[in-house]
Amino acid sequence: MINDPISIFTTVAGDDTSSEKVMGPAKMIARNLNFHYGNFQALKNINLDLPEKSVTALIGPSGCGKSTLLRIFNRIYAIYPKQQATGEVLLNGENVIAPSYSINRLRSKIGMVFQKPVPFPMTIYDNVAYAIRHYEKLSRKDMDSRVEQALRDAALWDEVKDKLNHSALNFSGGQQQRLCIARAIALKPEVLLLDEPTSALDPIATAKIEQLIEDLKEKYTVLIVTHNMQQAARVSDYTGFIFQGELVEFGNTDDIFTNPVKQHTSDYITGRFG
Amino acid sequence: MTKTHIMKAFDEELGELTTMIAAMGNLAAMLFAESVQALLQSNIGMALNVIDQDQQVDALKRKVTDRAVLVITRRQPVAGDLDEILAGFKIIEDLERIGDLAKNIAKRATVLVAEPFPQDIVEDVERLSGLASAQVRQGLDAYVSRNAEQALIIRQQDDAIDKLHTALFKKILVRMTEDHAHVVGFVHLLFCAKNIERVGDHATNIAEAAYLAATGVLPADERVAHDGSSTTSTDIGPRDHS
Repeated sequence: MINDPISIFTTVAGDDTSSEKVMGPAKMIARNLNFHYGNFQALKNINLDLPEKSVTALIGPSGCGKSTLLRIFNRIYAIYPKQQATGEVLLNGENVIAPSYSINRLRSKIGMVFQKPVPFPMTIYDNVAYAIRHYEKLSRKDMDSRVEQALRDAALWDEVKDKLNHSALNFSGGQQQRLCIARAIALKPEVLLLDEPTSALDPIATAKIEQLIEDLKEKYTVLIVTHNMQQAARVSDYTGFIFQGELVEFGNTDDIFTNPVKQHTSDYITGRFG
Repeated sequence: MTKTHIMKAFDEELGELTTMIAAMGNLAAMLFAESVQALLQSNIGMALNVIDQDQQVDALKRKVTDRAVLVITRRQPVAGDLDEILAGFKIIEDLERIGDLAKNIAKRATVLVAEPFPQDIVEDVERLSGLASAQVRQGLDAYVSRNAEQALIIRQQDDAIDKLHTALFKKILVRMTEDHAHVVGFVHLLFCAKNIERVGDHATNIAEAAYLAATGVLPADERVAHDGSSTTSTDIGPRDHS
């Protein structure tokens, strides 16, 4: 029995008003970040904190630079010529875009999932175990345990536990995307980058991924790029609006979608962008 | 909002909602004015018409609600667009109440036909209802034109209604003690005066919703009501219970 009726209201999860929400400590920090594709400057002096164990969404029109920013966070641009980032991207205080920071180490700490599910043409089990084998030598028993945990964390275990030796290519798009997430989190990364992870999925598969994102933030810091503004409003704690390479506005998602500060942000989220 | 939506139909739907709410407001304001006219002119026909027409206000509220729900479902509005629709929901609640209050005044008008009211009280009721009617009209104008400045001015003007109502309330109480033969009529008149004052309060709510529709936020300061009728007696006037 509840003696204090007020406590019902003061303890309900998520009842804090947005203006009172305190941003947690930053897991990753972009400082004075600039990015060039040859002579074209795609990002201009980005300063952005990704609060730890929360979901941050990047929104903005096509070509604004949001996916570019996401890709800088795991230095994927480094494999392409004539692409250059300056400034800093700090993970636990270390600049991950510095050449001295090993790519191997970076990839183990920052997982990435792409727009289109890209399972390897191998079994479900091997898809998850593949990356682990690259980094660690585990006994069969430990590997089984790691694979199971990754598939459980990706909310896929119950659907595939009896089909671990089936080809991943035989599963639905939504299942394949959750497999890709399982593959990414099998390495126990600290940050997960999701680049439009549901744009190729139907609404049910999308809802499953969105629930998964909600669950994943208990363990990981998540950065998601999405074209679906309702998705950003649904799944993220913080939202950044990027336009023409600049971070126009960043704040609590509740504030961005109810009372944005910048007119440009308001025009974009209300569909007045011309 | 100065820019139009990329989806033109969204703008049309929002415009249509505003038009429907304005139409509902015109009807509610007209019924209110007619109810007071019926009361003061002992016009039973007009009173019965107001009682009957209140159903139209309720029907319009249902239509606006259905349409607004459809817009929300289709467009999933956020930020200023959502504020506009939420303001519309608030306004139709107040308009429905104004219709109910007009109906109540009209009902009382049908039993007060034979009651002769003192001229000064009639004039006060006319002034009170004139102020309340103007507030409702101006509140609706502020909403339709998304005029935040006008909305704030209307909000402040409610004080005049409250003060006039308090004075009228006391005046009627005094007459009741002097003229026992017409106590029943005065009691009904007290309720009518209170209904008119409540219409003023609803007009203030409409102005606040108009401010919300225009700016995305409610007015920052809490409005202080000056209606002292609930603490008024015939001998010592308003008492301070604060």
